[in-house]
Amino acid sequence: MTIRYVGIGGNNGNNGLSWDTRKLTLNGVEDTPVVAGDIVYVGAGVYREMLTLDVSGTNDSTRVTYIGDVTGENTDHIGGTVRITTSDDDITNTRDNCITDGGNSRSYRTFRGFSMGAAPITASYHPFTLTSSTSDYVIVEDCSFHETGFANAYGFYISSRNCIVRRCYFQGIGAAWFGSASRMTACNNLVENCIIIGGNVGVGVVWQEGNYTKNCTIVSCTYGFYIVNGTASNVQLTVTNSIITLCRTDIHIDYAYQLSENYNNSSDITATRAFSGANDNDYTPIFQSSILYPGISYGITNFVELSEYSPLKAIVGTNEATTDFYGMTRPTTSGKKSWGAIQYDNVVKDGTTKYSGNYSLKFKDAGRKQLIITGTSAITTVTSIKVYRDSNYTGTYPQMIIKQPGQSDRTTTDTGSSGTWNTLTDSFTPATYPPYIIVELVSNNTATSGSYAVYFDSLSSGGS
Amino acid sequence: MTVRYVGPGGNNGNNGLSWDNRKLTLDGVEDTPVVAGDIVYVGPGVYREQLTVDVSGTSDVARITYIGDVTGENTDGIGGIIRITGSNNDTTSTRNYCIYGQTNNYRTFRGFTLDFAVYQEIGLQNAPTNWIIEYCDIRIGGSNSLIYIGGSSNIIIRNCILYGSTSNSGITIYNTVASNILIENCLLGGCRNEVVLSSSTGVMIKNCTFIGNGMFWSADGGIYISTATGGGYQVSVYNCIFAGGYSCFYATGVNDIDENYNCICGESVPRTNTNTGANSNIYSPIFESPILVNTFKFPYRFFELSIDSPVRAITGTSTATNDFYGLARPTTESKKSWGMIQASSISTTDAIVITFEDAGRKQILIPKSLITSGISVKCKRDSNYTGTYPQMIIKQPGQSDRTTTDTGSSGTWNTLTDSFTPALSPWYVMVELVSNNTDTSNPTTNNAYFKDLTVG
Repeated sequence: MTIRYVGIGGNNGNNGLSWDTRKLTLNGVEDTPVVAGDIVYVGAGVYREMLTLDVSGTNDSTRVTYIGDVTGENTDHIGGTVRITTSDDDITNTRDNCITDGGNSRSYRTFRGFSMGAAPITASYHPFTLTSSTSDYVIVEDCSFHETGFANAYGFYISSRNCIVRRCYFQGIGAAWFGSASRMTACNNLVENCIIIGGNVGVGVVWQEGNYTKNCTIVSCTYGFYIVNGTASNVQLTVTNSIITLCRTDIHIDYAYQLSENYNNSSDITATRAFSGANDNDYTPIFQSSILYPGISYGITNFVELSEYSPLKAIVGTNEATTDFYGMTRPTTSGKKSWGAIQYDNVVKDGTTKYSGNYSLKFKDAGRKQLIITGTSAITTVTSIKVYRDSNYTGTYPQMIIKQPGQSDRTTTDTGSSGTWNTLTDSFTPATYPPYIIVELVSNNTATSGSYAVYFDSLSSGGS
Repeated sequence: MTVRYVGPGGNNGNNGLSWDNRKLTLDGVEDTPVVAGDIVYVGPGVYREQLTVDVSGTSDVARITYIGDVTGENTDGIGGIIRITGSNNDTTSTRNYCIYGQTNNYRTFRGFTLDFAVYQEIGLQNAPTNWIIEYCDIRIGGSNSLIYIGGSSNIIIRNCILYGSTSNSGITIYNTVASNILIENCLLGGCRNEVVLSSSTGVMIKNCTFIGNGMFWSADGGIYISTATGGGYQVSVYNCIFAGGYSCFYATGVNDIDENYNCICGESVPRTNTNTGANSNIYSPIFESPILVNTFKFPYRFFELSIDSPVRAITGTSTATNDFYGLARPTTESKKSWGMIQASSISTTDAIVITFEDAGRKQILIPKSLITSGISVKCKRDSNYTGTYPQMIIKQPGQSDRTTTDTGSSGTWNTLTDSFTPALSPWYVMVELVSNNTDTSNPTTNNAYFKDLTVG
């Protein structure tokens, strides 16, 4: 197992074994060649090439893994988008795909942290394409995909089995297309915790059987799902805990047996609503609205996050994902988990129960919120926060988790009494890169009756 | 001119003349009655009522203005969403409108979230004139549109999100001739049609971003003309981005829609009975990508253009001077972005220095508690930078902007310093860093740089 590096300013004549001796191109590092078990850190920047996979991993513990180093801690110490594009000028299209198996079987590959898209094309080309029906066990995670100009495009277009697409963002493009007429049974491809906005089809399946989608949020697409062909009586796609809203049609199927679905929200559908699972609903999800104020740019940062008014923010599902789109842990209690890709955080501002100032952050129920603290140049940082929990709070007491990309999490758990302001304190030395830490505040409440809110106030962090 | 207050915990028996003496309901303050020139601050919270407008302002300087106090600086000191909903249970619609405008004129609404109306979130039913709707987030349409404009003139809808009306449209403009209606800097999407016009003229749509429009119904889409007028364009559409949808322009005659300088990507049927604008293109807009790292929730700003976007700095026509956030766009036409949000033009090639590759603005939020005497930042500009020198603008909601402009030489790090004491509320100030570069000939040597932002 070797760690390799590629990035802007590199040279394919380099050995690629350190950031200073990095390769220049993705194909350059692939052709080293990489071998099973290798990890390749890819520096921030734009890669104007089509990566053709030449190598397979051998099993789940010896994958070949490419990581877009968006936080910069393993490469340039700056970070940023790691973009693979089919265009040389961001206007016209030059290459067919961003990543392809070239029609050859390439299995046990992982891609994390990339942005992929194409300049306008009209043909059926897709950013990440596996045309071999035996390019199995490929994982795509923490990636974003954008429009290609071809209306019926998909980010991940494959004909193989046991692949996973998770925690990915798709805008103006479908998420995944699973299609093969040669290896149809027990395909077991999974799409989980993905957000799809404004594509044609969210997830499409042709011929393949035994695929899964769960905890996805699909907004304003033509079809949430599109299933065709298949063999009589075999389920092609199972859909659970997902939100399909503001679409023309939730699903296209030719026969009822093609789809197994339950615990889904299919709402504000223009055509006839087809989802009919016993535990489905058609509530409007009620996403958060944005703070808009003249001359101040708070950003539209919450476009498809559920609001405190949402009927889907805490609702029983089935076999839910344990984490969400951001990889944040969902509550342990099924009835407190949200449908869709993003777990609702349960946090509001509270002006009544507060330690000081105008308000505290109130967790109405189990949830997590992250705050970024920049500037970790001090050698030692003492981070502390006041916490207060109500008397009926149950479960692991409230926590403060210090996170820094590339470092182990540091967890401090409340040990004080309920009904008083207690202090959570952690003294530690952050890593130099990236130059910030994240403070994650957690309510683990499992109670469902009585007063069980948690309040946090007066976060402080400083050097010594 | 009277300043009035309404909010949760209020009482309609109060006089409404201070936050402590606030009214409880929107109709309660409207029925005071408000008079021309009044400003009403509406506190954060949920208003489960229909505001029926009863009173007119008299002129642009004597409007009646309702402001959702999202920052809390004029009401509860906390801030948040100000939601007027047609629902009592957040699942079904009960009331016909959130804001019901009949015949009354010169009204302004700013800073509201509106949803769940049976008919329309804002219904201008009987030809009221001179309305401004701005900085509102309007969703969950009922049986009709999010905003309906019937027979009105001099209407401005700007800096709004209009998303989600599957039965009908985002905005319907009906029987409104020579109307002088402007829709700019808005996000529109998730509707059967985003803007429907019928028998109307004099409508301008510019610098809007359309996402997932049209639902791919045959003919439905971005701009839809249901009935031709036969005389003159009903609508002009400039400097807009359409990304992911079925149709952009559907008209019954080629003289209905005047479109130009638009970016149209991935639409199945971009135009019906509409001439292709000579300066329109089919580029992919290339929005900024989210930074996704497992177990970390980094903020992502939806629908902002990336540094690689081909419509980040592109010549348009009659471009809006501000953007969706109300930030000034560059003065040079070819540096203005299409769509609703002006690109910041910041590159991420350095960990310490913020590099503006061209004219642009970036805001940084600083907690007020850290500021004892003021803020300073170092800036440098390249030799071919042209125009007003780089600036640091201190902004705090409710206060006047404080602008400091570089006076030093190019090629050296100069210090911009502003000494001040922030207001008590809200709890932060925004530091806005600005490149005003107008040079177009030397893209690699007209940058502006900032570093070492110091709070003391």
